[in-house]
Amino acid sequence: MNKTLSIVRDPILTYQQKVIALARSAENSLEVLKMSDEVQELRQSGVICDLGEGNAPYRPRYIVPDYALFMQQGSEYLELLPPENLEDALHNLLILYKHVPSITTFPVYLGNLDTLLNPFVQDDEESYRAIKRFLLHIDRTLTDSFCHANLGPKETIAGRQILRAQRELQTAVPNLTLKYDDSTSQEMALDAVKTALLTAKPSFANNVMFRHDFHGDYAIASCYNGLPIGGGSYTLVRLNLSRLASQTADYEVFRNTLLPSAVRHTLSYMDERVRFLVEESSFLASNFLVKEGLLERDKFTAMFGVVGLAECVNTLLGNPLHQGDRFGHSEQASELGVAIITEVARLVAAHNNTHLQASGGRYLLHAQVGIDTDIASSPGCRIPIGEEPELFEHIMYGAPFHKFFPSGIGDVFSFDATVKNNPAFVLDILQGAFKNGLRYFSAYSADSDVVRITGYLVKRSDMEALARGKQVRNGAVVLGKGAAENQGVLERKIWAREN
Amino acid sequence: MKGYCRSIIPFSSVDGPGNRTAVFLQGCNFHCSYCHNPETQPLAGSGEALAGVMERDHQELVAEILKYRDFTRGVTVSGGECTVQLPFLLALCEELKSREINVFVDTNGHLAPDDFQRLARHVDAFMLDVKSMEEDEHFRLTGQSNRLVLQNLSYAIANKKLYEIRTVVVPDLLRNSDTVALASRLISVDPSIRYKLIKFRPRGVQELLPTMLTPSEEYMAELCALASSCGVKVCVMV
Repeated sequence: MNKTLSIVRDPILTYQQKVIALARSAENSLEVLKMSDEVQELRQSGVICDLGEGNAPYRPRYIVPDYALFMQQGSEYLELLPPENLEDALHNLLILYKHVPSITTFPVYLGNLDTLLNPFVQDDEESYRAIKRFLLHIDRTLTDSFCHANLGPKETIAGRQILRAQRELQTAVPNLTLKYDDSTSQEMALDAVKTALLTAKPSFANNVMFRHDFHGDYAIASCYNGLPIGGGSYTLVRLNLSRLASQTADYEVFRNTLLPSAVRHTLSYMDERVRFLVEESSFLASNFLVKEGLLERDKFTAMFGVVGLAECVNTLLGNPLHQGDRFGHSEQASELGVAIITEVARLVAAHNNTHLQASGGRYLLHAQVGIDTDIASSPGCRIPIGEEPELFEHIMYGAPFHKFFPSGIGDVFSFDATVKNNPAFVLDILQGAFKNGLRYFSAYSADSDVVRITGYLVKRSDMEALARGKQVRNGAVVLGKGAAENQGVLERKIWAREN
Repeated sequence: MKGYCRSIIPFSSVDGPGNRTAVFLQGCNFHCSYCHNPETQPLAGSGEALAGVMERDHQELVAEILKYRDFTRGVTVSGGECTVQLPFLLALCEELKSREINVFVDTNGHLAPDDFQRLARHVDAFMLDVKSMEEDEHFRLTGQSNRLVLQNLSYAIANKKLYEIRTVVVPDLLRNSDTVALASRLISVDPSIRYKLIKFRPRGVQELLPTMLTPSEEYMAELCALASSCGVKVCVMV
């Protein structure tokens, strides 16, 4: 059937999902990006993948508006004055969100909500109810799991109210991150863990590490992407190390020939995407977010993704059957993994693209979490589900990779429901993980309806409804369902179960 | 010094506040009819029960514990009954304290008060089993009197060395409410001391009839309410 007609006739897509799918289909009927035969081949074979970014980029993939500036100045385009009270603040934000584009058509970053709202809230039920309605509004209208709000690092009344509302609402949207460091109060941190064990959010960002890498403030957007505020990422293209390694069993060939060539071609494809977006699409010249200073050219970068390190390493080691010899367990596999990522980082850092002004012309590395159709390639540098070692070993095995990935890497841990009686247990582990170089930490309870798929949240009940052929509001549910079927994301090892 | 160790759990969520490394020593001087881990009772000898027991040096054990230090807020030494290996336990706790590690000891409290007080010098807090406040009942259940337990309990309360007391609730076997009421009054002088009420579960139990029932949620809640009415501030049911 004609692709467009099949979208129109689809009984499971909601109206909004059809509009988005039709727009994608129209965009993909174009062929405006110049690419070499080698890039074409690598895309065909799945070594290079642009994650459905479309054939004619007309907006940056991840847009991170400077919401603090918006609160100060309002918006001429939206005819909004700066807020004078909580009602103004919440409405202004909700209005702006509907005008912030991204790859998903929904905003992937909603601001550091507690610091934005705290000047307007009181420690009372009226403020709390307003914040709860605001969050409900977000879930019901920004129907996409990649909408991501930030909190912290310091405790605020607004922050506590947001956490309380999330515990009560238990929605998949927005995704939520608490920027965590020594200035975060233990009460706030424990409240956040309690919330995560009920509704799989917030996740925790290692604030010291991110601030160091971004020379100051930053945002966590979409899944767990560290990005500069007031800009974002033009594109994200990933290199599938697992697919690449399937072309050879010889490490020397992989390291000296295949890898440099694949990185070079990925970079050339990314350069072309950035060129088209910056130079040919009218976004930066015409969008009001740029005109009003909420976005600035010099605050944009772009993300070079890698996926499937575990399978890549196992392939290069001859696919050992004994678990102790595989990635996640063996020291040799760890060293090989670190050597590969070090080399990718070196090759990527040697490349310059003058459009990437926020990062000195360099692409930032990103441990990509996979897509719903991936088979036999684990997210980023993660240990495959089903092969997890004990929790301490798991964290220590993953930690050496985190420093390479300023624009995002993280691990997800599922805990037995009994841990809800002792949230400090999770907080202690998270503090230890950050002390040992982990950048980003997510936890949820095994009995939670909201679950973290890879980096985004989906409700189990929504996945079940979709499986029964029902329409579901959230466009990411279909991705979660695919990831559950193809990557077993609901089968993660459950920690503290022996107790 | 060498001791017999049953297992080490690097990250435990149920052996005290936060994340703790739990060390389980071999051997027990009680023989509770509801024991879930009878294999931990014999200290020495041979046979299946001792198959998993490791002989460990206390310093080597501390070196392993230190690996997990960034992730934990302390260590809990448990058993079996860890005070059965008192010299080893003392050496272990002393070494841990010299490294400024927070140490909890999970014990049935059945040891000479002098020994208990010596141990308390190297322990931040105890988690103490109060299996029955009534001596005959305690004897029938464990094979031992509760006299030493109660003396040590009083010492721990008076010296701010008690994190929690625990009672296993077995409706068909014990006068649980008597124990809960009396024990609650004892610990109520210090509101920070928790009372943990543990539901009897027949799984893994050898001596008791498998038909013996696990207590209902309602009964557990009643006991918790009783503890509160006797002055306990924090009562936990598991």
